[in-house]
Amino acid sequence: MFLLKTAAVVLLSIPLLLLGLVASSGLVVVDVKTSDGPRIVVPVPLFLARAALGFAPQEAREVEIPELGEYPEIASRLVAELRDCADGILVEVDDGDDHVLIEKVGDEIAIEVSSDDEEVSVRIPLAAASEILDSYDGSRLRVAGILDALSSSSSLSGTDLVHVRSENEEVKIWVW
Amino acid sequence: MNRTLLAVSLALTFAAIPLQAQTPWIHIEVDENEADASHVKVNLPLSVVQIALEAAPEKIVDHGKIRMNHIDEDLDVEDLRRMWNELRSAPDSELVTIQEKEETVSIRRQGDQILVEVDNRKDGDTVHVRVPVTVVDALFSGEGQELNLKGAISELKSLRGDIVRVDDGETKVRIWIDEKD
Repeated sequence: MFLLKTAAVVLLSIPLLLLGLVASSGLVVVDVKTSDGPRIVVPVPLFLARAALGFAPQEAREVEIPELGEYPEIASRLVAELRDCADGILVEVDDGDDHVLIEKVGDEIAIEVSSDDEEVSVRIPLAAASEILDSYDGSRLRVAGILDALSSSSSLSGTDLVHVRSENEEVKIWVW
Repeated sequence: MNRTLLAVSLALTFAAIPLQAQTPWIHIEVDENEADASHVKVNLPLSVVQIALEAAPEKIVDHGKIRMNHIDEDLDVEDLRRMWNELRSAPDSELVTIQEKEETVSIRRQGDQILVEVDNRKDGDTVHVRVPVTVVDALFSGEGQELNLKGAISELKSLRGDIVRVDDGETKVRIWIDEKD
């Protein structure tokens, strides 16, 4: 009887533990809807992605961006300055066909692009951007640094990072 | 004791409000009049512009100084600097006036401001530029063919109101600085 109880507790604790890990480290959800196909939802627990990264080859653990060169320091200062400044529209372009809006909303930069047949919305959490820039080593960005930034930023919860809507397709990437 | 603490924290709170409100923002608005016209609005804190300037290619902007000969070979910054040094100490007056049949260009000093006005009667184009003397001073504080853009932006922080207004009949451009709270 005791053995059964122990087994039941162990079995119950596994999904609870996993749920706790997902809740504490976050979950990136990729949601793709097409007009004529199935809806595909891929939830990626960040703790799992981080664990998988340990087995990945070296080239998959880093993103080469040599063009960033000496700019991360400037970019970091820009991000810090933007975090300090008041909310408002930074850039708005309307050329009749397309409308582009870049706005500072709280600790995020929201980019909205809309045209006749497509709408794109991107949110850049400034805290996460700052952390990602900190992980740049002069030529490469560490993927682990990006995952850390995504999981540590509490402001990201429930945020649609990317939302693309066209006539036939809708793609949403959000963090939970 | 508690009252003193409350008074101090209240005073600090109210003291912080004007400081926060004094962040200067530069606004650029471009409006085209024609059908399918473009409308562009840019609003940025000057501090952000100053940092962004550092990201410009070194060939053109080095340590906040813009090398004009890479942009316009005909523009001689040294000549302009010499001219400015002659004109800057002039009292309030018309510094330059060019009157042609269809166009009048006037550059005049009014207090600590330099006003540039272009009026093209044929096309109806008008240009109004208002720049404080200290901004032009800072701009020409570079050496040789360099203009000190960083210094000029730094001086712009104390300016409020319209700097540039251009209306060429088809496009209206307005650049101004204010405080966004």
